[in-house]
Amino acid sequence: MNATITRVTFSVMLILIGSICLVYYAKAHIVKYVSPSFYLSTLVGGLGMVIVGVFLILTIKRHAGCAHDHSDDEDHDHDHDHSDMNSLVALLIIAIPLGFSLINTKHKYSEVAMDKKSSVEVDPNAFGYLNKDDLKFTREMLDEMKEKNANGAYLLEILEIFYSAGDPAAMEVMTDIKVETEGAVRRQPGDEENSKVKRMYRMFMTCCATDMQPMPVKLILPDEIAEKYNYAEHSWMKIEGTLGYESSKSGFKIPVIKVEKLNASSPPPNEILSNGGNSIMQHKM
Amino acid sequence: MQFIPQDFAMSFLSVLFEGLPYIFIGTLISGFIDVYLPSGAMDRFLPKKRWLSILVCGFLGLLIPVCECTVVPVIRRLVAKGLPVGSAFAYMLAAPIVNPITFFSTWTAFESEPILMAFSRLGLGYLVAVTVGMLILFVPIEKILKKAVIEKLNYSGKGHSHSHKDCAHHHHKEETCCSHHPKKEECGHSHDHQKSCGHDHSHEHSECCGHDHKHESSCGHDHSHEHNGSCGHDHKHEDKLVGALRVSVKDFMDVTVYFVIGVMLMILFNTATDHSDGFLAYVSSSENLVQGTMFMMLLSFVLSLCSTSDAFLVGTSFTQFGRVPKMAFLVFGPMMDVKLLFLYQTLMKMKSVILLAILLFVLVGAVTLLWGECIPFLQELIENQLGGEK
Repeated sequence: MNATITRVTFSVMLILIGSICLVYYAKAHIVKYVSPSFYLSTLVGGLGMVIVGVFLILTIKRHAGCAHDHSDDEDHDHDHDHSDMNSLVALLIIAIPLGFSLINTKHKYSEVAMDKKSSVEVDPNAFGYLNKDDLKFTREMLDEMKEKNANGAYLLEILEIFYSAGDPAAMEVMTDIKVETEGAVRRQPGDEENSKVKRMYRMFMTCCATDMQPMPVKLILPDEIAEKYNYAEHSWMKIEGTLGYESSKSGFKIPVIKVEKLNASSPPPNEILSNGGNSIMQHKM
Repeated sequence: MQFIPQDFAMSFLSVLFEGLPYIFIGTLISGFIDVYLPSGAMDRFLPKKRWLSILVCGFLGLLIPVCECTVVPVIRRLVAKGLPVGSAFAYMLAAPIVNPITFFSTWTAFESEPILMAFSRLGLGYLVAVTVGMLILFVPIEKILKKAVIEKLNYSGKGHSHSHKDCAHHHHKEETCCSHHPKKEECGHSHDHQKSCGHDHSHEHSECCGHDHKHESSCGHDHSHEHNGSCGHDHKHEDKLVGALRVSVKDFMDVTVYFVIGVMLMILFNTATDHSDGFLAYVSSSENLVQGTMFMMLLSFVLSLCSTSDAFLVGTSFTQFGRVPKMAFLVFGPMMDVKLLFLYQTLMKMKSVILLAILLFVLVGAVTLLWGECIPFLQELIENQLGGEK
């Protein structure tokens, strides 16, 4: 490819990639793909790519050399750029999967993928790093920090309930309290045929969507609710019930809620939790 | 294995948004290095003794922290600018681990034993990186580096000579004025070849008007105007900036190609992988430490996680594994994974990349297993020095 055409094409590709970053950032799609620690880099990187790409198109005719041996014995066109592979091949390798992804993305995983990702067993003990505080947790602190609904149930986020199973002090305080929480509901992994047992979860993103893991809570449904339950898998629900804990098959403690009320609900704008996001679990909550 | 376009798109775009901005930053740096950093500059401030230079470069990540996506294009340019290959590899392998961000994330993720895990990861990463750097001293660079990279290597570390033999290439006949540029009257034009020939001519001609003129025996660049006298402005900085950005974009495209291939393979592996409980129980058992360590290194290769956050995932996802396999994951992953396997090919020959992968696999496995044997001693040392951990 002629050097000028290559430069124009590369610059246009750079502008396109940068624009994609900016559009996804502006439309807030980016929250589905990466954790908050990558929002700024997406914005800055996108801006940088667009600016550099436009600048290079505006200076396309300026000559700034080609950085290689120009032996007098060779009779070749110096007006070219050097790349490790054919420029057209390089563009296609980038453009085809990128274009395919932009066309096919729905900004979320399919139900098949969510089924697989949400079935993973996670040890609450391993999330101790989210606890930034060493204060001993007490019932008074819980009363001070968390609101209750009209029935006296504590309004807790699912991450807080999940995390409590890895904290002996929290378990001691929170066993047998009434809670209200919400999340996506699915069949309990390993007990799929049991209609009285479900899993409520929210996905937690460490870095990007690829590494998402569930923050699960086991639900025990009473007969009257289990019989009427006909919601699709991964539907967003709000529940009220009594919190307890039991040992998982792998030996670590997991939270269990004996459900008393269950209603369909709408998911929040950002269903996915992340480190550095809006639901960091702390003793201060 | 079921291919669902929606899932591929989600995984592909998420890794792209995560990595591409940093690749862009890395290639911006590499472009400016190519144009603005004089050849041999690295060699001047590093220790002259190669082994000492390698030891120093292993720590450079503490000053210039970069992730694995960023470091490869930067290293490519630094090598072309004369950074010794052994030192380059020590920095390239160590930088994603031996840096404050990775240290902090490891410290935070292993909150039950932060000192042991964070410092050990740093120390083991450094040890492996400088070991590889030292071993490379004994290997001819022609066997390691790609031909294109070798061709750009500038051997004028002593400063520019007007004989182009020292520059390892010539761009025109020496009887023409470019072999010697004393005065403007003699040659009629400026020879700031920095921007034109890709190597450093550290001289400037204050006698000349300081910018390009049309001349026949050029290095391949067109000077579209002629000046009988000074035009009163200097194009050098603008041309350098354009040159630097063009190099950056070229590097960006080169690196992104390999990155995209690596990401697609990573998604393929992740989709196909389905560990049975029995297999996991086997490899995670303390009786099968070697198998568990090998498994975790292979897993880190496949997952291709970023070193600034992989500690969180290892800490939360693989609780059935002991410290040694986890440490192997944390040390091997930032040095070699599916993405890096392709990114390294912008610098090294394919055969060398594969040999490097095998060497790292063996080396990281060996040092982490050895480290496992030393844990009781290390814990006692920590407790004695600092009064215990949490």
